[in-house]
Amino acid sequence: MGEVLHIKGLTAGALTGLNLTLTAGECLALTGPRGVGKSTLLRGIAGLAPTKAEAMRFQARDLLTLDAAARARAGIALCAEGGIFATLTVAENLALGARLARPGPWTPKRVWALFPDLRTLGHRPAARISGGQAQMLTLGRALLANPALLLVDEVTTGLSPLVAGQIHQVLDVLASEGMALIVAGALPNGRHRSLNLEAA
Amino acid sequence: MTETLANGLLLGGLYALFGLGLSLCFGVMRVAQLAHGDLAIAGAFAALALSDHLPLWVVLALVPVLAFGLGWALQRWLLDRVMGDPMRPMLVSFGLSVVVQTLLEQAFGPGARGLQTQASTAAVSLGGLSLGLVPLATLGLAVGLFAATWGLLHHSDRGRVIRATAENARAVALFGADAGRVRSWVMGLSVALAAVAGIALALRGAVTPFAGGERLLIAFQVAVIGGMGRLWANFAGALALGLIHAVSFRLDPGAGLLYGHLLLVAVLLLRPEGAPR
Amino acid sequence: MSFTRRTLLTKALATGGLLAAPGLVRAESRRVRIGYISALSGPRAEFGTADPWMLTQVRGLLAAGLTVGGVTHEVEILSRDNESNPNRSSEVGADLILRENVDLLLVQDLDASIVTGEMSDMAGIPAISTMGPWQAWVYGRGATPEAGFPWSFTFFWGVDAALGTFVRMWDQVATNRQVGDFYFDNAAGRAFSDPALGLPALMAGAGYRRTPGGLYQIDTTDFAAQVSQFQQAGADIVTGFGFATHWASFWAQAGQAGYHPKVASFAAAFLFPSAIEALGARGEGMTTEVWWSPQMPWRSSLTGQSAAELARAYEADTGRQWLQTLGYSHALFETGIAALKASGAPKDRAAVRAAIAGMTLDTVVGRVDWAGSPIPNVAQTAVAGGQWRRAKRFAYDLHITETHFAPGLTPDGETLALPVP
Repeated sequence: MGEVLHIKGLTAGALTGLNLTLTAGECLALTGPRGVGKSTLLRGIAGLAPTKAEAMRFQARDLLTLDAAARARAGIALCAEGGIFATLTVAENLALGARLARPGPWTPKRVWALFPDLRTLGHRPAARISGGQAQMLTLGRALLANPALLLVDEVTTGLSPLVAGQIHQVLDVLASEGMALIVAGALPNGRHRSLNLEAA
Repeated sequence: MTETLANGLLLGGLYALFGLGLSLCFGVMRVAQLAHGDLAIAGAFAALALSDHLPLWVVLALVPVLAFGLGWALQRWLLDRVMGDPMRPMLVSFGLSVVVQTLLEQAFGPGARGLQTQASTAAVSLGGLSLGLVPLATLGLAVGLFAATWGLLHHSDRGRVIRATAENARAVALFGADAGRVRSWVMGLSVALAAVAGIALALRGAVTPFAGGERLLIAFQVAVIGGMGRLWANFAGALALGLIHAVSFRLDPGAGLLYGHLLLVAVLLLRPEGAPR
Repeated sequence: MSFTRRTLLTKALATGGLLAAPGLVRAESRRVRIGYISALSGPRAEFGTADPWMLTQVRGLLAAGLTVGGVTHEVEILSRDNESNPNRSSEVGADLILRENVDLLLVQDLDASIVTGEMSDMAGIPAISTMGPWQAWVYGRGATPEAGFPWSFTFFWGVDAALGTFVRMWDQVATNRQVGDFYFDNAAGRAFSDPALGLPALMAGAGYRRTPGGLYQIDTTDFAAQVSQFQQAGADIVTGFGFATHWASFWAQAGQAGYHPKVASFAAAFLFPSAIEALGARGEGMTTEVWWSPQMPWRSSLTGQSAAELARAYEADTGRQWLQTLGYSHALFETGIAALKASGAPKDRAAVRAAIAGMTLDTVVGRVDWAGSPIPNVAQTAVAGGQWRRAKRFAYDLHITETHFAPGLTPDGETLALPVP
């Protein structure tokens, strides 16, 4: 499998000199205590947080020259807690994800099949859905872009074990289909590589 | 009284046009754009200048396009550089209003100018009332532009991105959008709508380079009565303001716009966030 | 407001006193300084449109200095823009009177003349103003016509005469004598609409019936109420007072409503050709008070030019149509320079003041007579009635149709009824 992400000597927030390489189909769990820089790293890769690095490549492209919008267009998606647009409806939030729609397996139908609530609640303002539904929405919306690299920031925080388990299953499926993932927070099964940022 | 009410609605159509662009601008950028009235008057003068050389329909199509370009450029190279603290773009727009007014006075002189055409005195008979074609067309245009703007915001990809930008300008980058470009586009649209309103005013009577301040006041009232960025509430607010003005011009002409101001104060007291949805 | 102004004035007087130390005065002893205030920018800038040209002409005339009693004085004109703003008027007035220490103040703006009249009276500087109906100047300063002022003088026509021309022009047209009137709500509008002294009284006296449309505020853009009121009353005549933009809105709505009066006389709105041009083809036939026109039979005491020659020179140099304000701006300098000459001592303020008070001067706007005036400090000038008609060289020309208050002026013809669409 080819290299998706390569980072050398990255400095962002509290993180210094971080090296990281990720291949397609790989799911990396970032661990470490709160405030160690998990979210900052994800936001830095997405282009939303200022970073410095010796090298930062995504599918052989130099990320350091791309702004956040260009990185999204290139195939990097970030889903973070609270990332929904509350004044837009559920369907409109999904449509934002679909505006990048790169070729790939994720269609609205497949997202709806995975998260049926997103279909039935389509016309509801996103301000009026539950926390679990909101996490599904951010994940579903990110998938509609068919990213090559999915950055997942704490989307299971505060969810019931049932829903959290469902979401973790989805992440496994994504990796098995060849998507590269970086997930902030420990993953339940031990199949995935993890990186403790405190030690890094 | 029927006639007064009809005229009030027509006047409300003009007010609605002035309020639309400002409401849109505030709704997305959270900036009180104080040059809105002067830019509207600039649109009227641009139309006046061009109407000497081009047919009126060409002018009516061309000026909003030019105004869009001006608004786009203003946001891109001026206002976007001072975004963040809402006070700074507001002060810049205040400076801009003075500059626009002075330039207009220099270019066109201080006197009144009107866009008088054959249509200026044309009237339509409706149920025994004689209503001016220009005011009717203004109201029709206002309905059309409100509907078009609403449609754009709620039923197009660009509109979704605009509304998303209004809520969280940083996050839209995750969906491949450039918030700066979105703001430029919205300001372009806002200034184009201002120009349309200015032309409607010039068609209705006459304008001077100093008329911007009074127009800004009306635009603000429309935007605040309905709630900034809530289009249909703004439209209803504009009609209410027009009706109140027309009735008070009739019953108590010396009061001027007083009763309209009172409506604004009442709305602010009862609902500081603007009128109900 | 008045308290603040006075406080400011007192402070400014103290500063001015320091600057006007005797040594400085002696160094400047031969140079005569004339302060000139007009509106060159802002909403009233049209009143000052002709000023740059007029000032160039006057400065040219004074280039060799002013010789009085065998002594030649250099003359300096300090022109100030009041930006159409009363607060700015008091700033530039204080600047000229107290800091620049002018020998004579000339004010070509009503608002400015009310503010600076008070200042020049306190500072003891002779001042002449124009461009405001004399009643507004006297009452606007909280005075009465009998009282007079120590140092400030004005020359202009009175509201009563201007309105008298309106009624006389209507008499020339066959109408049903029903008049609809409406007025912009400011000091002048209230004076024009005053039931005892304004248009309503004159109308009643001349046998006209009135349909009152009331006072309106500056930001009014809708006159449907007045249109329908006048239309229902079948008023053949529309009159009142306001700005060109107000009239343009009213007139468009009247057209839309199918209301077609026979005479339209709206004071102040039709002074400048631009206001008529703003009405498009429907500017034809508007009637107005006329302060000055190239047809006035008088000559400038400064240049010897007739009114027509002055207007032609302005048009030739600027390419723009003559303006009524040109005559009065020019005449203001005629009176000022005549006073400096007649004083025998242009640097002696009391002598200059006495020269103004004793002046009878034939100017390009007609005779300006303070010596024989029944109202102290006020010289009443001529006012005629006129009608704008389509023309060739410029879009519209002003035709003189009424001359009762402008003796010596010959009318071009009678006032015509407005064209029927």
